[in-house]
Formats: sequence, C-alpha cells, structure tokens
Amino acid sequence: MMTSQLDLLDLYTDTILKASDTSCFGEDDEDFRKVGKTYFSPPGQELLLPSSTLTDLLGDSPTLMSALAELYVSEEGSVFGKAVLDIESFLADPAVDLNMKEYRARRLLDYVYPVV
Amino acid sequence: MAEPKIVLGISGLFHDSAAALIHGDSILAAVQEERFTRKKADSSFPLHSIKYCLSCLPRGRELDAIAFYESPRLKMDRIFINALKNAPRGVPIWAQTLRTLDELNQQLPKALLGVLDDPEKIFFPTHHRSHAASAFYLSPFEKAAVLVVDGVGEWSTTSIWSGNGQELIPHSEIRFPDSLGLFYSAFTQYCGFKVNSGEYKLMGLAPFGNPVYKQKILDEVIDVKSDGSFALNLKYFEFHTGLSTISPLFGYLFGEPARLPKAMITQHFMDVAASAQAVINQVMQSLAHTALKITGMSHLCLAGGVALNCVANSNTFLKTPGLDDIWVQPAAGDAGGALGAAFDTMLQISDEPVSSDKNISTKNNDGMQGGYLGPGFTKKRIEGALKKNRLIYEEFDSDEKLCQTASELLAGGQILGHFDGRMEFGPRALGNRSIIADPRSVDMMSRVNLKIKFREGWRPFAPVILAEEADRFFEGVTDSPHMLLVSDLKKQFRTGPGLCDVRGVGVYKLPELQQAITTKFNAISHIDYSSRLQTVTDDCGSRVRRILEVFYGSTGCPMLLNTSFNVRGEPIVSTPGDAIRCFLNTHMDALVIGGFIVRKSEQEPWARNRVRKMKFNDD
Repeated sequence: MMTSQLDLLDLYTDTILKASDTSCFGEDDEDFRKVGKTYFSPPGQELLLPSSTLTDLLGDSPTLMSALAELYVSEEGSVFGKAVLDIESFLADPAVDLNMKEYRARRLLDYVYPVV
Repeated sequence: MAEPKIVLGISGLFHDSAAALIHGDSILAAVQEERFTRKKADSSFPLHSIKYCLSCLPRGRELDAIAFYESPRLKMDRIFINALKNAPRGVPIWAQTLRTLDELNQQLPKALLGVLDDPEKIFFPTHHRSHAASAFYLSPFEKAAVLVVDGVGEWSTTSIWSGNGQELIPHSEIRFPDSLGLFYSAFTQYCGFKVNSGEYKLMGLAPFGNPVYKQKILDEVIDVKSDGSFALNLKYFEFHTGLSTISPLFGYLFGEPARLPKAMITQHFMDVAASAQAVINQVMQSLAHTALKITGMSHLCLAGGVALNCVANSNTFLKTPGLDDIWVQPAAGDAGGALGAAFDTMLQISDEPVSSDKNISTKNNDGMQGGYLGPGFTKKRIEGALKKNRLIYEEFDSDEKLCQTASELLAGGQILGHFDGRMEFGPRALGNRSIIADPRSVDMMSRVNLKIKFREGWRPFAPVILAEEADRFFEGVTDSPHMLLVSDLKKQFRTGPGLCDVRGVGVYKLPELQQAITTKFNAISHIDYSSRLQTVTDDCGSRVRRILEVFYGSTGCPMLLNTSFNVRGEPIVSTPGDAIRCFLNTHMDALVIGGFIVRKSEQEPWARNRVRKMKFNDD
C-alpha cells in the first residue's frame, strides 16, 4: 500500500521541524560573502582518521541510523537523536512504501543533482 | 614477503556505480555498472560489476576486504543536518531524503555483507579520500599535491591533499553546500542540458560565446577568494531543498528564463556557457596554485567530477605558476571512487608496504594500464555473436592484415566501429570501444554526429593521434593518453575564417558556425581550434595504435576521429552483441571486431535496414 504524502508530512513535522526548532543554524538571507581571506576550513576529523569498518561505524548499535542517533545524543543533544530514531522507526514499518511511481517520476526530472 | 592482498572497491547508490578489483598495487578489473545494465550512469548497487570483478580473482584466492567509496553514516549526517537547516523548505525532497536514508541504513550494509560476510572486512574510506587515492596512488608521481573537486559526497566538496609515497594527508576542505560541481551543474540546467550528464555539452558550448557574464557571476552567484576557495549564494540554487538545481532567481539574474531542452541555443546561452567556463577556469587555477603552495609540491593530481572538465584542466596546467606536471584520474567521477577506495584500503590493511614502481618521466607509467580494465571477449564469443546475428563477415588470420584493411576503409571515407580487447574504465573510449574515422573529410563531423551518434550537429569530436606526432600538429599540452586535456591545432592547419569573421557575415546558428570554421582536420577541431587529444604510444595497449600507424603510412595523417562506440544516450558498448546492435542501428560502414571485419554493404537488406531501431533517452 502506498504511503500517503500526508503521512510523510506528519513525519516531517514530528521530526525535522521539531528538531530544527531547537537548532541554532544561521539564516540564509545573510550576505553570502564572508569577511576573511579564505573559505577553506581545516580538514574534518573524518578525513584525518583511517577508514572505518562496518563494525566501527555500527559501534554497539544495530543499525547505522541508530549509531548516528547515539552520536547525536552525545554531541548535539537528545532532540536530534530522537528525530533520527523516529525516522528509522517509520522506515522500519513494512507497510511503508517509498518507491511510489509519483516520487520516482518527480525524481527523474533530470534537473536534480542527487544531493539526497 | 607476504602474498599481496586482494580488495574489491565499490561505488554506488549515488550515480555512476562501479566496482574495481585490485591485487597489491595492480588492478585486475574495473568496470561501471551502466555497461551491463545499459542504463546510462546507472546508480544501482553494482551487482553485475562485482560479479565481473570476482570472475577475475586469481585462482584459489578470496577477497581480503571490501572498500565502499564513502561513509554512509557521515552521508546520513549531512542529509539529516541539511534537512534540519533548511526546514521547512526541504519538503519537496523529503520522500527522496527518506528513500536515501533507508538505502544507506538498510540496503547498503545488507548488500555489502552479501558480497563478504564479515563486517570487520568492510571498509568505508570517505568520499574525498577515495577520490584523492584514485588520483594519487595511480598517478606516475612519487610526490604530488592532490586536488579533489566534485558535487558532493558526504560533506566535502573540495579538498586539498598531499601525497607522498604511500601516504595521503588532507590539508583543507570546503564543505556542502558550497560546491563547484553543483555550481557548474546549475549552469548546465540553465542552458537546457541534463544535470549530471550534460556538463560536457556546456563545456563544448562555451567557445561559441563570450564570457560577458563572468563578472556578474562573480559578483552575485559565487564569491571567490584569492586562494580559489569559494562560497555559493544559495538564493540562486535549490539543489539543497528542491527538485531543481537552480532557483527561479537564476533566470532573473541573467535576464532570460532557463532554456528548454529542445529550444534553439541562442547567443545568450552561448555567452552564459562561456562565462561559467571562464569562472571554472579561474577557480580551478587558483585552487591548483593554493594546493601547490600548501603542500610545497610541483606536481598535481586531480579527481572528482569537475576534473572531467578538460578545458579547465589544460588551463590549470598551462597557467598555474610552479606546476611542473599534472595527472588526472581518467575515471575522475564517482566510478573512479571504487578504485581509490580499494587502493586506500589496501594500504590500510597491508602488513608491509605495497610495492610501487612510480616514475615521473612519462604519464604512460601511471597505474591505469591504459584504462583497459573491463571485460574482453574471446574469438569464439565474438564469432558466436556474429553468427547469431546472421552477419556476413571476413576473418583475418593476422592483426597486420586486419589493420591494413581497416586503414584502407578509413582512407576511403568509411566510418568504423572498433571493438577489441578489454573495455575502457571511465567515461572516455580510448580505442577499444571506439568509432573511428578520417578527420580530414569536410563533412565527417556532421556525418558522425547526425548519422551515427544521432546527436546535435555542432558537437565536436576528439582526435586520437600518434604520441610522437602530436607536437607537430598541436600546441599547448600534447601528452594526453586519457583524453583529459585539450590542445590547440597549430595555425598552419587552420584554413578558413575565424569565429568573429564568420559571425560578421551573419552566421549565428551553431551547426553552421561549426561548419564555417574550417581546418585541415575539420572533424576534430572545435570552433576555437581546440581538440581534446588522446595521444597513443606504441605500448598504449590498444590495437587502434597499429591501425593509426598504417593509416599514417598510407595517408600522411597521424590522427583519426575517435568517439565512443555508442549512440546518443546509450552507455558505451560492452559486449560483441552490444557492438553489433549499435553497428546495425546506425549508418556505420564497417565493424572491426576482434579478428573480424563486417561491412555494412555486404549484409542482407534486413540487416542494412535496421537503422534507428534502438531507442535511448536523450543525453
């Protein structure tokens, strides 16, 4: 059975909107130019460290999303972690079907760089 | 000394999936999934490619590790944070966001464990480390600065590394959403081409225009610092929140709405293409300069999708102070990430240093084996396919006689499909799966464009040239074994008026402009007299070199037109069956396949009348 857009929007409201309310991200309408000599930043930890194995990425968690949620709980607070766990729980429901034709058709507009 | 380990590299679930198998420091196999599924830039988990790679495992050996080309957890982090940061504007891509999260969370680990059931042996180098490794470890350089520039993987979109022996150290990065790859894709969309496949058309369109919008782009769309680092003005983009790469403001900025895909290409879009290319050239050159400065190196390796922009590559090579030599990973896009991931993991798991015979003197001493890393076919398989298709063919008992005949056909103005040896890895056909023709013929460019490739008549073709003759005909960069650099045809071979003169007499449409700019090698020179060279040495690994030698001996022309063996929108042919279908589907005159030649004129009427029966989506 197709998952309705309303269900997806409910999930969006309950997870992303709720978590974004608590975040402290800047506004986009600031001047995009930054003062300073460079936009380069030092390499993130992930580039510096040796590659992780699947075991490393999972840690004590059963899935990658729950491992990410744990990371968020330790670094960002429980709201982000809860949002990720709620999304995972939604996706784990066997009744959820995201491969609906309408989504695929919209995906194939050929003008989308697949950033997600 | 311990037996070298075996690592399978995999890229996929984003675009252009691939697999690569390496044994110590040598590549046993590398292939893109699209070649099997016949779906261009196929992003599905590359099961067919993996199966082919595993068929190349040395007898009695098993995989020591798998390397996936990016970290799924880090990528999920970027996707999740992007969704939060842009809420509620990310609603249009919410369903896709969920699909991708599910794919990375559930399907990817399951698929990887299906190949090697040991989570301790499945490695995840980061996306940019995989690119950097594909560029440095396979280059001929012992030490080099490495510059990776792409759309996005996890967070990094641009990164600078130093490579030294068997070590790669990251120095700095630029993070999503500031991305040069996405910047160029935005202009690709605006000019009416498909994102993620039409970027090379934008590059080809640029010489028709004038960069009149360059300053506007630098003022409004992208802020570039003197070190080449940059930030995008996100109000002109929607890739992070919506189903379009550009926002409606993009059209307002340039004074015209985005071009529809089938609409005529006007001077406005030629000028926009020229301007975007001018910005890319400037940024890449500055980034290269910074990479050399930070690392203290004089050699540069490039990877990431932006490194497929051969005009920017050549500009960088020729104009960056202190740059002695450049090497670009031939599979610079995500397919090459499979190779890089495998090499990076090989070094991580090997108990002893992996041997390396690097030599800075020539680019042919890179580790790519000419790029001929995909499936090859036996005489029996090829003849079986010819018989199955009821074709009339001639068998040759020596390559020498076959090359002689092929050369005679070419000199007679015929267009040949050439299929021999192992298939190329990466987006370029380098002779083994190529369509070749005499570049001197006045109408050859339009014949190949319109009757073979079924594509726009203005699009240029590339030459394959005997390496030792390249300096005589071209200036600038003349060592380009993987077709990733451009050179200019020397003045003495230019025969007609230049672009300004042609415009002065009222010629404005693309195909007419292209035809009005004449040279002695019309089919392979673009309107600015540039050519994307492939130089072939006698050890290049492709029979096309011998055909070229014979052709040169009989005609005095040391180059041929070389374009990928496919029609518009189709992946390059992989099997003899693919090659036969493509041959019959086009007005190609002959098919040179293994030790056989099939002439169209000798076929039964049913075989001669199958032109344009195959359908592919436009590229």
